[in-house]
Amino acid sequence: MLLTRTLFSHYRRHPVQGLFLLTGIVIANVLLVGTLLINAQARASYSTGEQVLRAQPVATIVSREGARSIPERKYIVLRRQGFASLAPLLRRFVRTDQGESIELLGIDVLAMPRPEQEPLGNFSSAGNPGGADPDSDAARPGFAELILPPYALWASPARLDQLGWPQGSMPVLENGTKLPPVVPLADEGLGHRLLLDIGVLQMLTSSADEISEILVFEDSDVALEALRAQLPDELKWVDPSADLDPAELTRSFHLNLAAMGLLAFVVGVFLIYNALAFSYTDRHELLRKLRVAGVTRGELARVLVLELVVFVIVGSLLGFALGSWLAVTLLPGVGQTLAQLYGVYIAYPDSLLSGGLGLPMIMTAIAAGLCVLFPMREALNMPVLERQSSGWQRMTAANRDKRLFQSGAALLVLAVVLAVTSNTLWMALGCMASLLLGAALCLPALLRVLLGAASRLVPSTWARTSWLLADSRYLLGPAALALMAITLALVSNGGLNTMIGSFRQATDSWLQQRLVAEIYLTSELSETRVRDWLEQQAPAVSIAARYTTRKTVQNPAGVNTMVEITGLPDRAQFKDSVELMRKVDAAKAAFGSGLGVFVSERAWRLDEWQPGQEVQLCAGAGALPVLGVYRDYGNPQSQWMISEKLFKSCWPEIRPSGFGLIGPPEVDWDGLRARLASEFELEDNEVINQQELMAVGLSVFDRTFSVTLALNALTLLVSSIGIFCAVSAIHHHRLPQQALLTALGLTQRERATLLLLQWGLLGLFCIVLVWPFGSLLAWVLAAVVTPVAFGWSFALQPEWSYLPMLALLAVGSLLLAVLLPSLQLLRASPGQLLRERAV
Amino acid sequence: MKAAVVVALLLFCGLTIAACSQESESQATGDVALLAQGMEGFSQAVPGYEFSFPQDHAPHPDFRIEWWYLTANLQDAGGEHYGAQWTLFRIAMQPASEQSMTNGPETISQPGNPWLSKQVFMAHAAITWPQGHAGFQRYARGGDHDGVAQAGAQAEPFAAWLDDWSLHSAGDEWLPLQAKFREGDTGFQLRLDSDQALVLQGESGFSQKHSSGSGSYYYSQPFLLAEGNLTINGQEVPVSGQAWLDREWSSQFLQPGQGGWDWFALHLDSGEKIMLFRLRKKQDSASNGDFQHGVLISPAGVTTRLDSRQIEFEVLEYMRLHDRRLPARWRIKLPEIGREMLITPLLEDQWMDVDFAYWEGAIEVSGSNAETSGRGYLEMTGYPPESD
Repeated sequence: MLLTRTLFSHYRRHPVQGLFLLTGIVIANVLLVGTLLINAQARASYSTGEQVLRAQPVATIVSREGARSIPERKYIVLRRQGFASLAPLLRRFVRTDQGESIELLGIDVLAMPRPEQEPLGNFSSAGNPGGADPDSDAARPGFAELILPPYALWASPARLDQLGWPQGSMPVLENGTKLPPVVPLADEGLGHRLLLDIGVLQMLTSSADEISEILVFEDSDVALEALRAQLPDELKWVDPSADLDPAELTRSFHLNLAAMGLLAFVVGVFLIYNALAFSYTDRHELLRKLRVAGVTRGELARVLVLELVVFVIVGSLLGFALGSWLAVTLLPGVGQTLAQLYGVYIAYPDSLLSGGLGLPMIMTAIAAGLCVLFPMREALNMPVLERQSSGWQRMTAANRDKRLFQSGAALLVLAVVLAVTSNTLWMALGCMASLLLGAALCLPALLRVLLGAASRLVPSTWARTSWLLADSRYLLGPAALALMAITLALVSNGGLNTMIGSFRQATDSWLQQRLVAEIYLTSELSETRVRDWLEQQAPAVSIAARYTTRKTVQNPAGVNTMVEITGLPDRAQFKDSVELMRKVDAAKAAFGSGLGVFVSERAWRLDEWQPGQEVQLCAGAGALPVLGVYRDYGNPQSQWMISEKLFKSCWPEIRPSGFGLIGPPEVDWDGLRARLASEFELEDNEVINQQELMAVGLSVFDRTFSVTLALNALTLLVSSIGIFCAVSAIHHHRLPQQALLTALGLTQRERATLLLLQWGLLGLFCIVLVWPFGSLLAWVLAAVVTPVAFGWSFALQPEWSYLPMLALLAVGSLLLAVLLPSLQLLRASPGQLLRERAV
Repeated sequence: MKAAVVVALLLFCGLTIAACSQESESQATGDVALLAQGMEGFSQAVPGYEFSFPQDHAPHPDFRIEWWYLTANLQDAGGEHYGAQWTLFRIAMQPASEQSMTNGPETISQPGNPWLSKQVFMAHAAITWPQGHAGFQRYARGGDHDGVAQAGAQAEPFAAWLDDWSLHSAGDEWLPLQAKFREGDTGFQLRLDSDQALVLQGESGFSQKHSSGSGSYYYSQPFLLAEGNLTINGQEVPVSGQAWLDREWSSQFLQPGQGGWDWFALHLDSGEKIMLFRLRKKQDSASNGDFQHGVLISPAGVTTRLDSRQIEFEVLEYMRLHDRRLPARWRIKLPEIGREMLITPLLEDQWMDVDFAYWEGAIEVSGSNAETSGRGYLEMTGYPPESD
């Protein structure tokens, strides 16, 4: 007990050291816990399936004509026939005046099934926003507010925060339309979607008489069977199982999130090691005295382990609390990405997430155990009778760096092997992890080499510079781990930035190539009507229809998968817009004659349809060869492309889901657009020109990566905090050096300059190493991870612009960390400093 | 003439702006003042209305509340007794004059969208059989979707419906009627006919509900003979018996101080019909006692009205159902016409466990002779749940 108190008292004297250790453990946990919880929450949402007001449809009924709406009369007729477990749903995507793309769901609240014990009467009325008491059924707002003026727009509080819409406000759409007043609705699993009355939504979006789908809720088998049997020809029954499994669809995304969490964990582990190493080095003297006093190594080890356990538990709990908060904060962003990229929806919880404390804590305990191994062995095996010499310490540091370099080099070799062979996401992520860790582990030795080279270049007469370089090498001993941690964070940040920049550029040029029509119509117009009108009004302009459908097929890997099938208009502009990355001979000619299909890059990479293989398109067409592979950025589903003629012969009942208008550039396209809108009574979002569509595409892209970037920035931020802690600790240790310099007659100003130069140099050298490793990481992300994760590949564009930013951040946080303890140092008198050295 | 309280509760809970707690029933009947406030813009029922048929079978959208209410006392071939209920409520959520918005988005003010109809319909249906009871509810809005409405009512040919639950003329004439509902493996299909005329309740069809003079328009067809099938847990049971149709509309049923009511519709073995109701004053109300009314209808359709003083209700025994204390057996004395009857439910638990819950069920009427024996239906509303 006395022993425990003696050892623990160290942290009483140096509370900052305890704080730094705790910070390391917390940093290791926060993002790990955050991403684990986000993924768990998403998985929970996937397993419950898509719900509307907590009601779970067992199937949906959609139009057989493809992505078209159903006349609501058909729904009413089904109700009148006695099929009462149905509810209408209208989905509309609109843009706000802030340029935000939002999804509105129009429902008939009177038709929605309600959970048992939750009568409509308990839909108590307005004025109970956000569910003051979420446990109470009465927290549901009144159905009347949804169907009576001024109507209401229900949304989860998290989504409202994200949109920045205060309760009661009436958001304005791009076209000036005002939405009903906003009402926060907690615990209804609304997630990313916004709910309002179907009639109101029809009015707001000029979709009178339209519903997007009919939700089918639980009923007796007999009733559901009868419904299927009596469904009119124009309607199609869709089992939820026929749809893509959202968990499968988003697997890559969640793995990437988890990888981010792990990265932060590794950064935290470096900091834990750093803090532990200091705390032990500091207590060498104390430990030696205890050993002299007769305490056995075993006793010391037990107490030191106990101490670590306390830190791990407290740190993990703190990290868990922060991580849980982080998860709740980030979830809407994740939900936005999932909604825009995959069209799947997750619920946003209105309270802190719980559960899953075990895994991060066990991981932290193991990591801390490994971290403590080396410093503890060193501390316990220290010669009892002599004080350690600084030369001995430097020797061990140099040896350690050599060993680290060897491990790092081995990891880098492994990364190269994985980069060449990887065909699964796990291997790709393994490649990335090996590269990151390898880079970090090589850092100290490389820095040593750089400093050595620099000192050889400096003339021997430059005493101070020589000292600076020599001392910096010495400094590498304690500072290496902290520098490795920040390098890790910087490399991943630089790599991700380069990757995303390149990807964006690739998407941009791909969009420019593929968007050949000047104006796109998404309304359900009659093709003939538009064509006739164009012949009169703008004879130079022609119309091309867009046809799509979906089909479940078995891929060559033997897995049932959903593919999107799209028809390519039979026109030179469209045919030229498709660039093939792989193809068979005379692919385009065969495609034009309907003798084969093109498959998207994803279908080729992930579903393994190779050019030359045959696919079953439809009963009428027989087996058709795969003629080529094209890029399809941003599409999370595999796609087949066929000629329009072939599409029509396979699915004559499917009507176009949209149109493109093409023609020479001399046409007054803006004027034509205006006339089209007024002639066919089109809403702003139903007639879009090329530039707008590009802008929408790229804004979706940007939002998709916003969470990734946010997490990345967070990693950098927590690393900076860790670096700050670590460097402060190191610097505090080096006060005696400063004393020596003072005694040698250096002025305060000179010492300060030397200090800043020294750390600035280390920071700069780090950045020099970060750039090549960052670019390498970007390449791994672009050429290894993304292709197996999403089925997209793109060329890497070297990116320089972020480097100065990173350099500034790295050097800045290093200098700040040095500056604070230095202030105290600079003020101290040489005598004081020398006394401290003597202790 | 029934279930007004139920509708009042709906109005209170769902349709007024004030918050409504989970003990909705008790509170609703406990503060009916809110109902009175919302009457502006609606037509009021006043004495002297000239009924005209078939038009008055159709909805009266200017009035706030309206219903088509059918109950039937039925027997199978083996002599077992059954009950059946079919009700369609119409509730105007807002007066027609307020149907264009004033404070919402301007763009929603265009009229004509069927979903934005302010006429909301609620349907209840129930069956009682010797071993059990099952009750159901549905809701829909009344707009016309390109020639089809999910819920509504019309005069010629007569029809009232919500989804496939319907009450409608079998041919061009008002009678015979067909009534049907189905929910899962429970439902019924009844054919209803009579050669007798409609009966106007109250004073030429104006039924007073409060001493202050407020009331409703109310007519009945108590002489319906019913024949058809009940489906109970998937089993078809052919039945026949007597049925009673009530039609009532008003904008104000309850006055402050009225807490709920008990309603009787009796088919006597003598061929006579009796309708009785008691609007109970709230316990803390200062108003002067319960408001009671009744009518004796001779086999020929001649009515004799009974006022409060001529009706004596006595609860002989209570039952405990769904945390509530409800009358189980009654003695009713009508000294003016020399009747004394005992009322016993066909089954105690005929509780309608719907959003706005109430007791509605088949009853047995017993007395010393054919003028005091028979079958009927009883509705009891406004009995608050007791927390202990």
